[in-house]
Amino acid sequence: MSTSHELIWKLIDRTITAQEFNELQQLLLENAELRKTYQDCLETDFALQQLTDHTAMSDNAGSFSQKKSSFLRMSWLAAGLIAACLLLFTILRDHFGGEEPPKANQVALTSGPFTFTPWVSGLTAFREIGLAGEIRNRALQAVTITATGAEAADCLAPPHPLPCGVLELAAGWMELSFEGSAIVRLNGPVTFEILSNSSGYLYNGSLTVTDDGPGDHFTVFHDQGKVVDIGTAFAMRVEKGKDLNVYVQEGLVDLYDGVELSLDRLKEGDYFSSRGKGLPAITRLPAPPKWVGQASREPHNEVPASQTTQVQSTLQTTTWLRGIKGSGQAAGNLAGIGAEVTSDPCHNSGELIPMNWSQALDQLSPARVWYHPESASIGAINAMNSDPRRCPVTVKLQGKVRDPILLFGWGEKDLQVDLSGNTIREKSTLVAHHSITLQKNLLDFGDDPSRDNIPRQAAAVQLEGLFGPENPIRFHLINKGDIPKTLTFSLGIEGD
Amino acid sequence: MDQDYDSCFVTEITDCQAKMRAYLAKLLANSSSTDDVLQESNKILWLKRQNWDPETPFLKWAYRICYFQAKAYLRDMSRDRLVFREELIDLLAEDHPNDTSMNQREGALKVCLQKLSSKQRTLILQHYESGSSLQEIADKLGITSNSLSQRLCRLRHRLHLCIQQNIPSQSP
Repeated sequence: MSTSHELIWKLIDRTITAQEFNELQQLLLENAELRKTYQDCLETDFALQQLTDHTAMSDNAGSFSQKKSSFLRMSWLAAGLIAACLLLFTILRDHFGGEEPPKANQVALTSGPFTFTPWVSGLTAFREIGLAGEIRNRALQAVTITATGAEAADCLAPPHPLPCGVLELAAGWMELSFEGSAIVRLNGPVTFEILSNSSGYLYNGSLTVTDDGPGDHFTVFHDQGKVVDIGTAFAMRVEKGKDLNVYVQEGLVDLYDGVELSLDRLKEGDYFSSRGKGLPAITRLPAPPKWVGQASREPHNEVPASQTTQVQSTLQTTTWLRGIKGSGQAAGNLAGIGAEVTSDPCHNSGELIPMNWSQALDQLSPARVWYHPESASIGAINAMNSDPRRCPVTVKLQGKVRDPILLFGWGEKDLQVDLSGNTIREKSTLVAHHSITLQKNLLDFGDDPSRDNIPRQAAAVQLEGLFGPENPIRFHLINKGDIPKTLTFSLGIEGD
Repeated sequence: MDQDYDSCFVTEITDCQAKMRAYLAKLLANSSSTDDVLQESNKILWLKRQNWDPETPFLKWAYRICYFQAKAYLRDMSRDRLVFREELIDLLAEDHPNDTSMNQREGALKVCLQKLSSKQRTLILQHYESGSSLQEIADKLGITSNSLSQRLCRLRHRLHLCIQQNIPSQSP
């Protein structure tokens, strides 16, 4: 390996000395081949980063429960993809911002008897049943509608891909083929949430699962716990959110009451019935109950993909935010929770722009931070403080968030964020931005004259509270300088 | 602006993120600010999206925006000791990143990693996975950071050569 190559790698590692840098610069100026090598080395370095990022994600997915997230790490992950945030900010500002508030159906698929909302509507008892962590951990994958029946057949030509989200089928039936090989038949009326390639959440209605392929055991969560298919087929019904019936058609099924595994593993012909808080009963039935449908063994693929255009899907997005109860009506509300931001009197600056960014992120970085099981970002705004100097900002979430809110901000020099009135659970600055300080409730983005050339600095604060429409997040921007400053921040939650 | 156009634009811009980043990393000497400049470039691209003709290559236009954003950034950062001179930036900017997709490169990388010994592979991946500094890893291994740096350089150089052999030949 020549010295020039070594210098290139030192540059990439940022361990190069000033003298070596000048030497390399001269070599690059003189040698076109070396410039090509420099480019190739950078791409190799990038590929190595990508590869290890992906590996880390896989590892995380496998051992989530043992990996407590770190606030700082989450912040770094967010920093790594801040580019994506800004992109989405602009995208969604255009799509959903502006004068007229968007309508909910802009992000939902509604056709005939079913609607699909690409958003998690909320796991109503997620804390109580202790499954929030597991639900968050599940990878988000698309499923495909591979068959429809009765009224649903008139409005949709399968196969039609769907990301994670809530599917409401008013009538007829529909089969979803999961990438993990299970086929789920939904019998309308039903409300079912696609959580991952091997799991879903049944809010109301009935479904039948066949899962005789490889991959994880298919799991259906419900408000009281979960049903895990050991193989091969079962039917399940939830009524009023609390009455549960499970019928095993083939193989075995495990029932969990919250996180607790029931002692009785259900086998073929077993019928489990639980009504409200009463004692559950297990009986053996000679034939399936009437409400049980039969899911296909294999996906139906008779309809070519080219004929699926009758559904104009806006469902490129997927969602990741768990444990949030929201209305789904907010501006740009792809993640299921909107942030209505007001900042009068600074509003006059015209620079206060609500944003949500879920859609493009899915496309930008499907394997990175945005699917990180321990964190999720739900929105951001740009706020400018020009005059007056102390500018109140109110972020009113459209839904309730039970987890502590992470406020991750990039601020300019001379800008302060006064968080008085909020309960700060944890806070941190990001490495390499030394002049930033966090004292009491004041986030100071620095005025170190030696760092004039650092345009923005970042910090993260975790706020405790039950935030929602009635309990907005409030803070003040304080501009110590003479020219307008911008604070770009994102909101997120951190998992268990 | 119609939705199809925007949708097409979003597809293009998202597909090109990796290449834009690689392009910027090259101009910025792999500075940690690469993502910042990419972010700014994305913003500009979006704001100027009506200037893009879907019939023309998106990437070429995106590179141009990245180039100007990089220059603007470097002007602000001119006191940084590791900033390339303008004439070199112009030369580097002329060479667009390889046509090889990141997926191809990553695929080749996986093949090449298998050709290293287990120890070598672990060393490389440890460097990328741990987020630890060279000094910290060197301390763990009981070697000097200089020695570690040289080992890593050699290994990555081997990978680099191997990748060149394992990715499909590119059109000139």
